[in-house]
Amino acid sequence: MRSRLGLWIALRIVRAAAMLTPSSSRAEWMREWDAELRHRAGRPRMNRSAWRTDMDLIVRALGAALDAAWLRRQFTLDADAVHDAGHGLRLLMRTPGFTAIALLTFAVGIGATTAIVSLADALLVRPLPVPDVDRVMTLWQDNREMATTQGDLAPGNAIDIVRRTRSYTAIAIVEPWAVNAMLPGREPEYLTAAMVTDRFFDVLGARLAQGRGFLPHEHRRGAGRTVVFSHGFWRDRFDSDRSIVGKAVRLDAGAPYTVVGVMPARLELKLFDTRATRPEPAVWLPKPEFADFEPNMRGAAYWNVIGRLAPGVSIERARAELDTLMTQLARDYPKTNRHITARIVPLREHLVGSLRHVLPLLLGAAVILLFVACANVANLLLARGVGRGREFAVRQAVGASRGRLVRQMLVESLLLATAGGAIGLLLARLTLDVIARLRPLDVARIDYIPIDLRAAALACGVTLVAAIAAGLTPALQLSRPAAAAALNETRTSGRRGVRSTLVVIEVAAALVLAVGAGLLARSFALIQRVDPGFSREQVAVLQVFVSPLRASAASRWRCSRCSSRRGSTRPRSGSSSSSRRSIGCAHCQAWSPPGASPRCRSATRKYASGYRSRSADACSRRATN
Amino acid sequence: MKLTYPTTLVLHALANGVRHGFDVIDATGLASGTVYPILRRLEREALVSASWEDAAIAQSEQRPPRRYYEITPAGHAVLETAADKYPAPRLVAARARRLRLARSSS
Repeated sequence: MRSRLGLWIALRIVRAAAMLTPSSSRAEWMREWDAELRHRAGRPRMNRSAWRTDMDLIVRALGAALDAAWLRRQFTLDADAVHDAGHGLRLLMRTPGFTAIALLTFAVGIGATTAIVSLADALLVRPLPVPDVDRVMTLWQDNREMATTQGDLAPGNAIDIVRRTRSYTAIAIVEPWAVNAMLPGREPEYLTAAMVTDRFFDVLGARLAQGRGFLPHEHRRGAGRTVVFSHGFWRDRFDSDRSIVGKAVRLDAGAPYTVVGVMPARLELKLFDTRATRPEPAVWLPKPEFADFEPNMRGAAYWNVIGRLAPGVSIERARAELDTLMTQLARDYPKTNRHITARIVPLREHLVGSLRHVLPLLLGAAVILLFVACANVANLLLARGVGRGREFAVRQAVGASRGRLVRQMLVESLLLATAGGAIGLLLARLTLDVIARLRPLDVARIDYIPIDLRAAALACGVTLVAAIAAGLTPALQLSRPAAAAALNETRTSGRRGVRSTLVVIEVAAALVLAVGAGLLARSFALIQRVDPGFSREQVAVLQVFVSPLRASAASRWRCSRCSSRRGSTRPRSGSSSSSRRSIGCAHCQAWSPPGASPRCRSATRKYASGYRSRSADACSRRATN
Repeated sequence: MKLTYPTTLVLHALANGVRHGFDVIDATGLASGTVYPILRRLEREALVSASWEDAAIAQSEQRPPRRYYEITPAGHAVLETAADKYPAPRLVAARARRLRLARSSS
């Protein structure tokens, strides 16, 4: 009887508390409490008197009031938030000028900062698919007489360095090469390639995407032909065929090569001083033993050396050893090496290329830009908030609470920040795509730059904090009870001090940014004006390759003679120049003019800027076909 | 989400197999006015999922179906992070065990 009474009282309490709950969830809420109370009443605890069970039920039922109050509060907050968001949206749409400027400020600040930091992250921080990459070094040659730095090594120098150095666990020579591929169902194709000595894959230490690197016996002269594909070539030409390893492909005018491996994805080394114009090797070949003439070649420099530092050897020690080696070589070969020194550049630093010196400047500029964006956003919202003094006073007069007004401003700031952030991230994505498309070729790994989420979060967060702070400051001040006096004033006192400070900071930051941008533009203009020592106008460079497998020495010679005979022609009518127009080959010394012999099985590459005649195009087409 | 000691106790109880609101109250020793808002908040944060008991079971015991709560994987993860701050109270586990035994014997 008693427990029935207890249950009856408990259920009455729950029903009364249910009035507090939102009507949409009331029935379910009551059902839950009802079931729990009835279950407990039907199963009193052991050794517990009936009146204690009743009291337990009643005490628990009293908790239902707190539960209902919590639900009501959440419901009210949710409903108010939706209402505030709608109201804020309408207000923002009523002032399109302000909204557009605020969104643009958000977008530019967040977009530019995110793009620049993502770029720096992709180039400087993101790991390469090479283990312990900071121990991998590239070696280069400087020529004091020619004032050239970070150029390729002469074969003789490279061989001596590799043979004599003790600073590396593995060191390898890389030689630029080219092959003509004849893949089934495809047009013959000219491919950039590289020949590597036997420790190359030990230097990289990277796990290949497919297969393996070259075995020592594959570097012997006369050994079977083997090849390792670059990841991009394998993906584009073979559709990432996993069974490619072990198959034979026809390269170099039809000779069969066995595919032994595929390089890891996203591995670009950008070796050779032609890295700004030469694409990454599509195929990697084993370099056989050095030819007799190679150790004595010290004039022309076109090889590259890459090595992995031995444990415990610092870069400084390796540099000191290299300096000693180069001094010895200069003493031994004064004719060719008198002005030659060598330098070690860590692979990671080398891959940043020409952006090495620009990135820190850009990062600084991005920070200033974010700062200016924050100040701008804060200023805009402060000005807007101060201008709404009368609106706040009216709303307070008709019963709006202070918390509600503050929340309203907060919601508006959040709306602006969210939309601005979204546009900013879109802008960052577009900017990164444009950078990737316009990238200098000597810069690796920026074919696709992912947005750095940490940078995006930081930029959005900083701007959001600025927006919230700027939105809340006037709201807190104007929602004070004394602010109701604003009803009788034509204007509020505002936050002139804060705004003036913000304007001063903004102008100072913008000035720094403008000066930085001006200096950067001037440096760029100066670089453009550097005199290369010859006139670049009307100069083109054409490389001609005549396959030794398809043509005899005599026919190659005839082809070269034919090319050189027609290598110089009078300029077309209408040209103001009286000089002869020449197209020369840097490597093989062959001359390939417009309209060269169709017997040439050649591929061409155009180097010079600002020149490409119709006949040269025709020659290129013929050559590549 | 702010993880208080009572919230951790409730999560512990649910992780130990306690399923119903009043059983959580018994296992944790917290008041009903504390436990239920915590359960609502946890449900809102998807750390706990709630469902209605099978009507057949309730019918066989001649009472209305009860609502039961279960801790989600996200709730387990949060509970793990809270373990350093609030070590697992043995009392909750012991009470939960007793409740489970009582449930299985009935």
